[in-house]
Amino acid sequence: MQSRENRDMEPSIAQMLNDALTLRQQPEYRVRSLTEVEASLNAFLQGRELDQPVVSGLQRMGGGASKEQFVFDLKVAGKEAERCVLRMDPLESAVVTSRAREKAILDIMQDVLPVPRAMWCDEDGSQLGRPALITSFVGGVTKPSVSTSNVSGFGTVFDEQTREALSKPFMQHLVAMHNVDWSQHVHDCFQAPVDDEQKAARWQVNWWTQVWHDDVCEGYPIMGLAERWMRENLPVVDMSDLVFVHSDYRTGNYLYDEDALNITAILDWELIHIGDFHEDLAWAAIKSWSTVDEDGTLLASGLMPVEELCEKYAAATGRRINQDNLYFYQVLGLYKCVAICLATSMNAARHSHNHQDSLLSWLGAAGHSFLLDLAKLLQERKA
Amino acid sequence: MTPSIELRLQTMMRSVQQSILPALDADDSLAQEQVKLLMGHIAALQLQCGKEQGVCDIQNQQLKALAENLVAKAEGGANTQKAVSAMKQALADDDYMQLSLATESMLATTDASDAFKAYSWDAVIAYSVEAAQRGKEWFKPMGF
Repeated sequence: MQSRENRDMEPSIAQMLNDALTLRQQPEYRVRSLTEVEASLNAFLQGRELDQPVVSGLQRMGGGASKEQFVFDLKVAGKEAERCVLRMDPLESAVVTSRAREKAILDIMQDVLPVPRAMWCDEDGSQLGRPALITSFVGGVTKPSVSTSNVSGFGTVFDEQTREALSKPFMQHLVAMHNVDWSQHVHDCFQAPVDDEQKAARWQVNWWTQVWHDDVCEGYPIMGLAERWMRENLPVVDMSDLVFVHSDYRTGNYLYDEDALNITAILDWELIHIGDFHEDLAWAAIKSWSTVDEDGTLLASGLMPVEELCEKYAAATGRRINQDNLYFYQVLGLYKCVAICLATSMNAARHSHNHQDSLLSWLGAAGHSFLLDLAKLLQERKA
Repeated sequence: MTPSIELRLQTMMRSVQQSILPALDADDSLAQEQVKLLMGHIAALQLQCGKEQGVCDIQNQQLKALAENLVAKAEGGANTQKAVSAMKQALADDDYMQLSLATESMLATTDASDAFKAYSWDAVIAYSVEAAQRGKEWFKPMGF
């Protein structure tokens, strides 16, 4: 195994993972009261060149296995109150990510597709206690109001009308995101894998195997086999065709209006990176957030058959879908899911480093479904 | 042992359902969500209560059998040999966690012989499908 220092990985991600390790020795995470959060929020906003900012109606939001989320109204002298969202890192969560990258990509995507407006970021948590991002509030739901689905978008079932209505913007926004010229936006936050044609895939494999090895408590033979297979089968990608990969583009991570049946915001940009477009297609079709229609066909993200997703994407972008690349990113996607559920989430819960430890220990149970899907997917190929 | 774990779980569920949940602020969506999660955990624990050791024993036996099999067939370069040594030590210590980590680590090495790669591929997938199905079945009460 390569040493941490020599591993070929996006430098910002490597730094982020190294920083996360330093949090391990911290004592239990103390969930702050609303009064405490409001006080630090008011102090933070006082320093933002706003005219007499006042925070009111601060409430915790449910949902999300990753960040502490609050909603509040911000009133500035002479203006209407604006509803805002505060997303704050607990000590550890289901994934290690950066609020600075999240703000940067929201700024980039602001005029491209519907996203919350990034307002302020406390990158290192020096002012709000923990790294945090404040955005505008966007209305909508992530699943039907009358729903029996599990956490985080698992098993969300849409009726036919909703499915048909949401499929179109789901594709449009994916295409729009992938058409953004990332080269105009490469800076301290993002680096691009442009030295060789396998670098995009290698960076991802090194990222997620590092996450797994940092956080794992119980080994699984299939994870070793998957790691070996990925290292020996890195797909090539045309370096002129790299895109911004959302990396969690699926049902559960967008808001939609139940009456208008339109997507109101694409959420959860924290895993954004520059890479191979196949990654988002493969992720959208992971079984756990897909459903099976009346004919037994798997609907990617509960919206459309996988073949249709790929065909429509190819037609809209002119890109050719390479089945080997798609398969590789399906394997990587399931590997990531196992790492998130059975390693990072368990680690955070074990250390009592999250505000929702019981949600993380619940999420861990999903890891076995992902392990089964990974074993079955690898079964389709030979060593 | 009286009171049994089953009874204690049952009483916890009633406390959460009948006393704590109704007392919560209906607008506090995080608290509402957390209590429902607690109820889900307790309901799953009620179904799993008393059965965990049996599942762990099968898991332990099957991993040991796989590991012994892989150690006997393993061939390859320095990384493979080093990983095999770690597996042998874990087998000798009868340490499930160390064995699981050492076995995974050995399978991730890329300097194994082609013959061993082909052999381990089939053996590990057969083992993993069964193990993951067992895991999935165990956590079925949690809806995954």
